[in-house]
Amino acid sequence: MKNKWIAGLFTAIFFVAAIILAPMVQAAYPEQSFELIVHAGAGGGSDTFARTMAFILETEGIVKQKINVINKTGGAAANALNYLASKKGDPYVLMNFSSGPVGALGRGISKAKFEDIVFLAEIIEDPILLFVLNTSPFKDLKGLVAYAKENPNLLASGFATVGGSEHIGTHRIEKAAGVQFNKVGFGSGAASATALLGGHLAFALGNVNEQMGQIEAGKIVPLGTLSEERIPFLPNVPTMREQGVNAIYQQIRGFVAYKGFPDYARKFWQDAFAKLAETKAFNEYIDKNYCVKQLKLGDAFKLDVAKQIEDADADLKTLGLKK
Amino acid sequence: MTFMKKGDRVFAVICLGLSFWLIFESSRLVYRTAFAPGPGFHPFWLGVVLGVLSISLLIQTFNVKKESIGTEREIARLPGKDSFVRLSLIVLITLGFAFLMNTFGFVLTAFLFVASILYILEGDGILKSTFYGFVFSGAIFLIFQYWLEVNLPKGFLGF
Amino acid sequence: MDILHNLMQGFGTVLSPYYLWIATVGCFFGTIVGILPGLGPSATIAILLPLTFNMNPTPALIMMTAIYYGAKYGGSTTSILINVPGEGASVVTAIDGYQMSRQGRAGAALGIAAIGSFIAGIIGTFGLIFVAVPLANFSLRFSAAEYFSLILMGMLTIVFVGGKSITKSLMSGVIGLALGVVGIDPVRGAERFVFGNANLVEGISFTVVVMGVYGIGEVLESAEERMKLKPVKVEFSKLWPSLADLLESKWAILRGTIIGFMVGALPGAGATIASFISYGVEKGVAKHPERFGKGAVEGVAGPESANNSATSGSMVPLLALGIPGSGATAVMLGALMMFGLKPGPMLFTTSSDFVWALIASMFVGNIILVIMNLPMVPLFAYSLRLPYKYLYPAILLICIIGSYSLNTQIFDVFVMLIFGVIGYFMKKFDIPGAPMVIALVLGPMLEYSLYQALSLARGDVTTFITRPISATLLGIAVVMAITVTFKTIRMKRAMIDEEEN
Repeated sequence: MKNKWIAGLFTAIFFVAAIILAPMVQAAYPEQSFELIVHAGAGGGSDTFARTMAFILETEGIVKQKINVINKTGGAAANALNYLASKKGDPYVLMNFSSGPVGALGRGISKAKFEDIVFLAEIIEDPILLFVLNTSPFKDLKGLVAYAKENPNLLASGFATVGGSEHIGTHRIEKAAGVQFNKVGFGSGAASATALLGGHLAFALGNVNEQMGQIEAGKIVPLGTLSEERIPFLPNVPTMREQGVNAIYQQIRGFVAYKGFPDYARKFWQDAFAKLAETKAFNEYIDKNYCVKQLKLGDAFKLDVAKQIEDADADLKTLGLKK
Repeated sequence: MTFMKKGDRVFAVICLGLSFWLIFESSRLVYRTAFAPGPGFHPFWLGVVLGVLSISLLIQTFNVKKESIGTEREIARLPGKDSFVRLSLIVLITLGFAFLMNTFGFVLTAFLFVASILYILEGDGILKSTFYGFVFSGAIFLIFQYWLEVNLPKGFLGF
Repeated sequence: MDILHNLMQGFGTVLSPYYLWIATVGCFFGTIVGILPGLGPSATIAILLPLTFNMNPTPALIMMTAIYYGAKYGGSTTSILINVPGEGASVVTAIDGYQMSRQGRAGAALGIAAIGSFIAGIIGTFGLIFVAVPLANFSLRFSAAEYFSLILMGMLTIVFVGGKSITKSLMSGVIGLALGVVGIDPVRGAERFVFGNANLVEGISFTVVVMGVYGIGEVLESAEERMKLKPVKVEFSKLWPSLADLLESKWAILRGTIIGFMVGALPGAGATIASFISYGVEKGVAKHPERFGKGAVEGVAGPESANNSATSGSMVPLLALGIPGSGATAVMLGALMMFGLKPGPMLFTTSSDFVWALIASMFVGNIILVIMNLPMVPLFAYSLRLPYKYLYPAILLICIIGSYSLNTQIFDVFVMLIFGVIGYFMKKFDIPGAPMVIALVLGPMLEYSLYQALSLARGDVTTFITRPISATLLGIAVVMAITVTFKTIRMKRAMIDEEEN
């Protein structure tokens, strides 16, 4: 009997203490800290980008609260989108947005739908190049396309993930030039580049930043870029369009929130991103990572993505990735 | 028939079922593409191989000479009633942990978890269980949340 | 000698108090990361990335490399002590390491792991200095066909790591392969065995399965009866590896080092595959292969050395070609890019100070790690005396944290629990778990490289034999298979003879 009393007393004391202490613990993590959702794993391109942006926002004082990056991988970005959707109305949740989520929205595999996304700001374009080895017999895109026309399905080309930016990009080149390549997926840009370096591929598509070291060493040669305009730091590389192949693929990175995101929050963040784009740290990042600054706020961003989804629709269907 | 043989037979039958299922499911996928095996290729052959191996195992259990197949354990038997209850409790409590994690927050749930295991399963007194629960969850909090900054679920108390 | 001069300069930079401190912090973090299951080096490096923003590139990369190394040292600790591998590369260590632990030889196992790792790390770093560029260029000749053959070699270990029943080992392996099928297929992006569950689309995570089968399964088995498990008697004399242990392991360590370095240098193949192959090789060349699985010290020495030299090896493609060979190196690449350093053929020439400081730091890091780890060995071994009833809730807790923090989703915790129950039954029915786990890792890679090889060869199946490197690897695999089969048959005959007498 006595033991029970003592036990009860201790438990009560414990709970009271917990309740008193809890707010103190809470104070160490301000209720105003943000969640930034990333659909990819820690260490990958999207993740590093998100973390760096968060870091710059915090250190430049643009955002005075902590921004916690949360990795929600899985489901080809559907998991991250679903998680975002579950936070409807929460002014403290944002998500990193790039081709992964674009694909997920386009294929309709997540609970979150395109109309429900609140587009905050697009800030970077990550241009995609087509490149060959310096020992390649093809000196320009024309030569490559001409050869491919004569030899359908012969030229082996590399791309990263199925349905990803390079896959669709290569397909668009095929469509625009009327050729057929032997497209082989490698799972990652790195693996595809390795295969190219080893001479096992005729060409590969990939992001600039992953290949810059090789480009500067002269080992690989970019034959064209899939962006709308020439890339500032590679002024001698013509676009696909300039060379008569009307294939464009814009790979963009930006930030979004979910419907229910209050207007004051939206305004705050659009301002914040605009300021971010002006900071020295950001511009240094751009230079070092070989991307292109492309600031589009709110509706301009939304329009970009809508167009991307629309364009990709036909591609996805042809590639058998969407019914 | 020893437990081992019985166990092997059960395993073989389960695997046989699995192999049929693999073959069935893979029939719905594309078998091959232009140059290379398609999505259906792999699971199909896995099903076939598994089926063959299952049948082989089954046949081996009928081999009178062998006492058991490849066993190195002298004592192997299914858990008795007591053990069964214990194990189910452990699984249930851990399951409960997973469910409660997001509502109560990791640290609090961890506390409840450790305390309840010690109290229910190990017969420690309430005080001891609470104390150790406190110690463990406190350690987890310090190491993972505070120091390593790993994102553990936060509950309604904010931690 | 130019190299010597550069190396000395590198040491000069690294041996300053600040850099030594950075390296130590990194090693320490890395060891903790390695010890805690589920927390991979990639995740931690990424989380610590912001810390490095404030640093210069040299100390930042030194810290990251130290974390990477440290993780490999620490990963074996939990494998050996509680049969829960800290990460993929420590799975095979658990097989014999845990058995050694049960025999009271935990100290020996931990010690050999540390010593082997140290030797491998040092030799591996020398390898990085001398053969990085030619090795990198050679590794480029590896195309999909070669990877396929290499992985096939790794798969052979499935047969080796099982118990006496080859049939059950193979079945376990096939089930592992089947589990690997779950998810998006590499060819068409079709969803396979996903059942409309978004969480399964990326497949079943290897780490989750390992923690379930090994960690939870082990706990369920041991906790069956309250207090039944007496803490293992750990004699003080057994807290360190004995001279006999060291001598027995010396060749295993050497072989493991070479295998690890070469495999690690291949982009896409890393410490995990290296450790599998090392285990297979050790069992294959051992005079008494039946000792494996029961606490053979070579089973710890080989793979542990392999996974450390694989770490040095994976720096080869990173530094020489700018290609990340694994998750952790990918993060390092990102960091290098952020600092404006461009890994690639030019790195050695344009930023040679940085490169040599990094290499010097690898040497220093290994030394720091072995100094850190060896004294802790008796401590860890002694910790086994903690009453199991306090140990197992902690193990469960750590596994839950580990599986949750992978993808921040509760689903993984459920999967882990399911595999815990499966693992329990597997132990009861004497179905080996290692083949399943190995197949889960290698299966998807195998399928992927098969598809790529055939696509590149436009359907020509002979590509695996006509390409010289692939043919060689396949040849080795065949030889290994035949050798072990013969040995097993001989062994079984001997056993039957014994029984009949």
